[in-house]
Amino acid sequence: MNDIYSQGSEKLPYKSRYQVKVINDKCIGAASCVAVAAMTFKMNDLNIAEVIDQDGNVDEEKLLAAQSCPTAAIEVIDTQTGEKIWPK
Amino acid sequence: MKVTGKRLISKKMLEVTLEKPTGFDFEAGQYVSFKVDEEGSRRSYSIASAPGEREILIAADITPMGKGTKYLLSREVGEMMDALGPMGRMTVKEEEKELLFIATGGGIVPFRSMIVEELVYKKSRRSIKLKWGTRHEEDLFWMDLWEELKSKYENFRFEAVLSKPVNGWKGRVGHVCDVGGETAKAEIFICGSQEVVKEISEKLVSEGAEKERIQIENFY
Repeated sequence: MNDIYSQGSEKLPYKSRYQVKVINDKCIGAASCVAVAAMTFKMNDLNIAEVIDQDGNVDEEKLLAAQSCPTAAIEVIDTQTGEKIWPK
Repeated sequence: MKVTGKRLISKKMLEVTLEKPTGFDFEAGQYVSFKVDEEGSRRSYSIASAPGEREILIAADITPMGKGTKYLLSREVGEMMDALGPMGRMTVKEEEKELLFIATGGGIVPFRSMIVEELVYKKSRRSIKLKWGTRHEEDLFWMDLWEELKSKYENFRFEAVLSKPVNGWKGRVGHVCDVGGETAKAEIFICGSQEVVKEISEKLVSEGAEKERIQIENFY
């Protein structure tokens, strides 16, 4: 079992379609991504968001986390089509 | 959240009052994210009202005229705003340390919430200092509130610092980060544009402030 799930997540193991990527230069440490999708993102020691588990949250939550980022520092790619769906 | 009021509080700043939804709990210093277009774009705005206040207050610089500005200007009283939150980690710890708030421009917005909460609702006796830097006197807002708090609470000190004053300004002139010697014991909060926040933070650390005691929030 994935470690994340054994550490208390109530979510079932999930294979996401959307892949997220943090553009470090754009991140200002607002941490809204962590507030929305805490099992996917965390803030590192430099106060920059980083991805800890692509399957930590469902796709809708990952997209909302990206949309909530004040500087559009999170890209969302649909792995089935290869299309970048956020930012548009 | 339903819009209950809108008003310009300076040439640049629009204040929007919103109905506080039942069960909406937040900590002073946090922000909310609003959906500003049909594509799903969101913009974040610090909450200016204290958790103890009846309504939610936000205030934003409307000069950029980006998606967020246009959205806020287009909202009418009675209309709903799609809000997500609260979010944000810049909050006051439950300790007895002095609090030093340093803001530039619209960076003062979350500090209104934090200071009103401490003074009015928590009846905090710890020393609270607010230093606010803007270019011109006309950029200042909520001055009645700051003056009222200053006269009512002896543990609160407020100073506005202008970098480009016109004739007649009797207050301090210069850069807001020239706080000299006041950081030794304080828990420090800095909010404003990214470059200025970085500059102030680095200056304070170089003068001996502990990095761990500095919390920052970047506006952009």
